[in-house]
Amino acid sequence: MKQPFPAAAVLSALVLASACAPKEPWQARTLIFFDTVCDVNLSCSELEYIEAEQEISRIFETVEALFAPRAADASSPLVLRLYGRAQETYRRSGGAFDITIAPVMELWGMYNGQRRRIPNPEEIRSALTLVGMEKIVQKPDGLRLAPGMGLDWGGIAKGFGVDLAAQAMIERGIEKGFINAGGDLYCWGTNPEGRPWRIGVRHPRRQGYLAVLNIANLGTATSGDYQRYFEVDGVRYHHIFDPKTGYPARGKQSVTVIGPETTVCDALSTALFVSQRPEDILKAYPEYGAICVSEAGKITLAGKKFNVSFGR
Amino acid sequence: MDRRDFIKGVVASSALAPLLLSLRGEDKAGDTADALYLLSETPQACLPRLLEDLYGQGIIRARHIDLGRHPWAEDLAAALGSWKVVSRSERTDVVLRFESLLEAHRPSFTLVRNGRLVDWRKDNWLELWQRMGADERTRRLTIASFSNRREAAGLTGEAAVISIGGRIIDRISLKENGLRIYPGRTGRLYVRVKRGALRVEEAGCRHQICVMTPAASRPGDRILCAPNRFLAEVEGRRAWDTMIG
Repeated sequence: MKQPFPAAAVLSALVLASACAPKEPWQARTLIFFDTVCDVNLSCSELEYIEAEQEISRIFETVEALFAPRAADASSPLVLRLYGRAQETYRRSGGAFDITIAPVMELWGMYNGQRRRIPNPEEIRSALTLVGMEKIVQKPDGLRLAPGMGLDWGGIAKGFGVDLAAQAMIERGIEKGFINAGGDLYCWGTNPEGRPWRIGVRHPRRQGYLAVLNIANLGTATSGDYQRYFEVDGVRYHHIFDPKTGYPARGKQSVTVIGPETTVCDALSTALFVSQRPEDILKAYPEYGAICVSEAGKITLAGKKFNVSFGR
Repeated sequence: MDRRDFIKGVVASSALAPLLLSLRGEDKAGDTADALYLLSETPQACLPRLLEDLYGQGIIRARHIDLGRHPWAEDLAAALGSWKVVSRSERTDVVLRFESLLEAHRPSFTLVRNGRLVDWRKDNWLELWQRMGADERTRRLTIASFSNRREAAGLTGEAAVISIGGRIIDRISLKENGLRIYPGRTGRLYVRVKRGALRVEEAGCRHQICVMTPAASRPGDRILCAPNRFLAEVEGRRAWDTMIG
């Protein structure tokens, strides 16, 4: 008869080993970049985190400098790389996403340090003559913009920064984590409980969440009329402009896009917010899905479906 | 302890302010945690039995306890053999507090659920109740509070952390109404707490995004004033790992 002892010994050794296993270190920090809060949560030691944060800061500072409103640089490889992505979304969205919207943004005083105001229709018509990505000429040494034109990277640069930072973290060997730059997020691996990341989507009209996404190895971004706006006589004028009209796009409170690249989520969320037919745009993006909240507060899901639960 | 003894004996304790508010129906947030009040010289002798019973009834969901700064924490940890002792930063089901009352009272225990005093002196607890009643009077009050449904759902927060430039400078209770003023790069920020919610009432920043942000009351709710690098965030258990939008 076999002795039960060895099996019991192995079992208790295993139990003991698992009980003594060091707790997986997680580093959660809040940084401020892009004029917003950036939450970083990485599965690594404190020592590894110091270097990781330095790298994230370096990437975000570079992106902030290169893609500031009306930034002069139109020739560096990073600018040309993101320009390619922006052009792709411009084409596929029928012009609903357009980085040449800067003159309109400026006219409405939407940039930092400007006074916000409602321009008259003539001013808007004049600004619109400077809008349209087809007006940009791409030469081997950089982009050529007509006088008065300007680039607004606000609808894509943050997502690009998050993708670059998350990729750098993954290359460092950090297997799990998320980087959330004011709502532009990429998450990979599992959360500290070994489950998919639970991403709360802010309610566009009150504190608290609209939905919780349970996702991994995906990006997400939101465009909402509540993020930057001013009100005159009870009418809300927000920062997401329709490049066709020069006025804030109407019909939605927010659009959240989920998909493999945060850069694309970022640009698509603006495009879907502006477009009256978001489903049509999403046909060209089979890997992406969206949660749209209409002006009346009605929630609809479009495109690819993800694990999403709706709360209070 | 019967209802009269409880009100008479324990009313003086500052720890009971939220409870008394909820009993009077004044707590609009409705976020008072359920709690067990134990008047005893030796809480380690009877608390484990009482908590085990609450766990058996499903009132407490998991055998996790935060002993806080209870003076008999070590003894309690030893007596609560099958319970996991956790710190406040982790998910906690039961949190202990200790109060020394102004006057000594007859040893007893009382359960408060959903803002109501529950008469618990029946079945197996009658004997314990009678035995405790024969003990010497005591000033030692141990309060074991556990999340009720609203808190478990992440609907309310107890406090908000204020940071400027990434450095935590204050922690405000959301249980007390009041106004605090913080210095900022563009002028002062006036932060008001009213009925469990915090909002920036006035700020010297240009675009007033912080002032327009809805009041923060639930765990994870935030108010940011980027020009002042000011951030207020409500603490507490959340239904998400991070928030976007």
